[in-house]
Amino acid sequence: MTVDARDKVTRCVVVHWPDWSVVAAGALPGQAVAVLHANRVVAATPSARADGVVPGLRRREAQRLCPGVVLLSHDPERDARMFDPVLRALEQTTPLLEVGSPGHCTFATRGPSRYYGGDDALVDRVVDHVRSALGPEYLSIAGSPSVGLADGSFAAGLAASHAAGLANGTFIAGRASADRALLPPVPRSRSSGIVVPPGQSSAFLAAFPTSVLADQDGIDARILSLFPQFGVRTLGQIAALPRSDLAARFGPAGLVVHRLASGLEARPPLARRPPPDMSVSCPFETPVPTTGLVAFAAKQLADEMFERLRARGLACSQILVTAQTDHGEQHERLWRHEPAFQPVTVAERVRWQLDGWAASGTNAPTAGITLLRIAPTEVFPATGQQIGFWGGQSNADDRALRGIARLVGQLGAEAVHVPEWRGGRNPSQTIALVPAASTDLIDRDVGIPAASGSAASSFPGGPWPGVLPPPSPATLWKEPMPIQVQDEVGDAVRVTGRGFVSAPPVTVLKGGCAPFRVVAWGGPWPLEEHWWDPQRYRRCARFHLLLDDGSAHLAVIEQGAWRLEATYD
Amino acid sequence: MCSLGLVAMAVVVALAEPTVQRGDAALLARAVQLSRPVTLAGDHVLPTHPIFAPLFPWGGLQRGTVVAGSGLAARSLLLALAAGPVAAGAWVAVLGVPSLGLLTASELGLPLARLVSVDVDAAHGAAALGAAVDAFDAIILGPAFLRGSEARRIQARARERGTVLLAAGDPGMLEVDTSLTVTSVQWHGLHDGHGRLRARQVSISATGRRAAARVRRLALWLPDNDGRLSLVEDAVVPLRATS
Repeated sequence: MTVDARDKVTRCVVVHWPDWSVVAAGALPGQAVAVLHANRVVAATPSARADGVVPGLRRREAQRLCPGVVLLSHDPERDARMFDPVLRALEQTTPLLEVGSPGHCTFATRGPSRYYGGDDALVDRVVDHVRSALGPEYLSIAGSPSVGLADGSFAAGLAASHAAGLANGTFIAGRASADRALLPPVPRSRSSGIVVPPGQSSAFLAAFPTSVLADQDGIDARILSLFPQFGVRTLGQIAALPRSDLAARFGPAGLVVHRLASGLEARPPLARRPPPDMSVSCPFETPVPTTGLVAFAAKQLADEMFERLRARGLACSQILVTAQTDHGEQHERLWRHEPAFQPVTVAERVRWQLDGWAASGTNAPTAGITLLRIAPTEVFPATGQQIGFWGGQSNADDRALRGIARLVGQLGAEAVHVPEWRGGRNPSQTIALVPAASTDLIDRDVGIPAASGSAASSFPGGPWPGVLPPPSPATLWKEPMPIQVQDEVGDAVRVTGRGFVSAPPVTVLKGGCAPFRVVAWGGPWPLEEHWWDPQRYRRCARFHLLLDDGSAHLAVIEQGAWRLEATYD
Repeated sequence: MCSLGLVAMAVVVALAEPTVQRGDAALLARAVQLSRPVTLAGDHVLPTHPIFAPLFPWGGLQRGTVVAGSGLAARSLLLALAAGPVAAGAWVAVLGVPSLGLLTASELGLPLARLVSVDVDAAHGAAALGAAVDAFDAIILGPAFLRGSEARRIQARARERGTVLLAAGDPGMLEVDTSLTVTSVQWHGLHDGHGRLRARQVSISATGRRAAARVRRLALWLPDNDGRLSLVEDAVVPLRATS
């Protein structure tokens, strides 16, 4: 095979934590913790993984496999915030970092490696910097980073996750045990880093199973499932196939598979750099002190940049964000997002970068921002988007998305939420609100089981024995309202341990108002939850109360105290 | 479509007319008038559940209007009204009503995938509502947080953008176009110590300004025993306009 300019690869370091989301949430490796997004597990601690909790599982499946698992909701802002000290530490080593997602970053080794005296020394230095940045108490949570150094970001990334697998005794988490027999020889392993010698990337990759390609963008899982059927089990076997045959059989995806398997980048580097007029900048007349306002401007800048890119039929997967202050301080960072950036994701990265800069202690800016520049550093031809004939993104969707971005810019990401189904026995638990800024809003699956979405069913779907059937209350009191419920002679109504009511409720006293008479009532419906967990253990009884003013309520008695939980209005 | 046909007809008529040689001004003016784009009244109305048609002179929620709900089942009523447009592809924002039970919305047929909930306080209320009016087709508003001048400005913008404001609770300084009052609520299924809240019968009276000034009444199950909306069969509903 001839080596041309298209096959040149950059030698780079990948610093990687598997399951950064649980690390950012502060979970110790020994605890069983999983992070959920849209009712699906996205990350889990080694202890939870040992019980079979892997990404993609539903909440209930995870709880069934590992009853003690602590479930947290996914918060990309938190992930980015916690990752920032690591980025600051790495910036001591290299001027320009490329951040993919929180928990994963890359930089080119050419300069730093020569400066520190070789690849091994560089990996040492990176690990030391990161360990000192994390501090001892946080290091016990995060553990050492896994570092991979190789030609090409795919090989380096694989080396890093392989290093992580060696460190905690599992080969690349979640893979079938049959893969373990194919473990490649480790070229040169350090405490928590693997260095692949120059020019050896394809040899390093050769022994990996084809399944490691599954997480790469642009590769269809259906294609990967075909390789074992052809008897092709390792990346080396793929690389040995003629490139043209793969392209003929699988189209562009086949080319990507071949390029990655032979240690190249997924896309050949563009022959020419993106023209300079693609970058957009926004000087502020008066220095802007708050991140929110700059992020709002970033959204408009991003819109402008995408307008220019679109005019040339380009999409962009890597951007360089530069911010300058009134005192001449400058902060720049590369961001990568696969398959391509959207204006909203650009604005989000700008906010992450500026928040991180503001929190960086001695290096923090001392004045307001005066200039923001966004430059696309890696562009490729946009393959376009086929708009569906039925459904798909409509004009109303576009308008709403713009409005949501504007509201997020005005009020902050924590004020704008979209509902998501969680399931539960109380109306207040069933639907949770998640930040709209970090959710993909188009054709979103809220996750409501079909049975409860349709008005015709009498019980919400899903295994929630003890849930109150519809209709549900339209008002859920955020702060439960304490009430007093009395029987005929004025004694407080109680519920016995066997679930019997001491006397029929007759009057209800709500803070300061004249007493209400109970017209009709139903219950008690006892509820005992989390009996395995002393902290969350909860035992209560629920009642329907219809009062003489016509209002209907869901009342709860817990440890002898009554409160209104919800109102049917 | 219709206007296109008329244009064609006008042109055919104009050409067929032997007396029209070079520019009969009156006829051309007529052709121009016929070919002017027509906005049908139906385009100004967001589709609601057909059961609510008797409450509105236009048969549904007219775009750009303010609808206020009051009474014991007002929240469920507003959610049921918003369910129609959202099911048809519109987006709805909930502004300043953090206690709204969204499971109820889903049970009333409102797809939660196109609902956004915004926590907002009095200081940012007007700005947030201004942004929301540009973006959403319907907005469910909490109790009043607008001053007089802001309310007028935002209402003018809503009218221009065709956004329906559904005020749950006190509409404050907003000028209400249609006011829906739940006059009576009767629960079924709950007895003295047994049963549960199962079905609710509500009587609604609607009044408003201009075309909606006449009081309209409607009695319906919100919801009935099967969880659906349905008319109360034996209700005595005076002065009800049938369409």
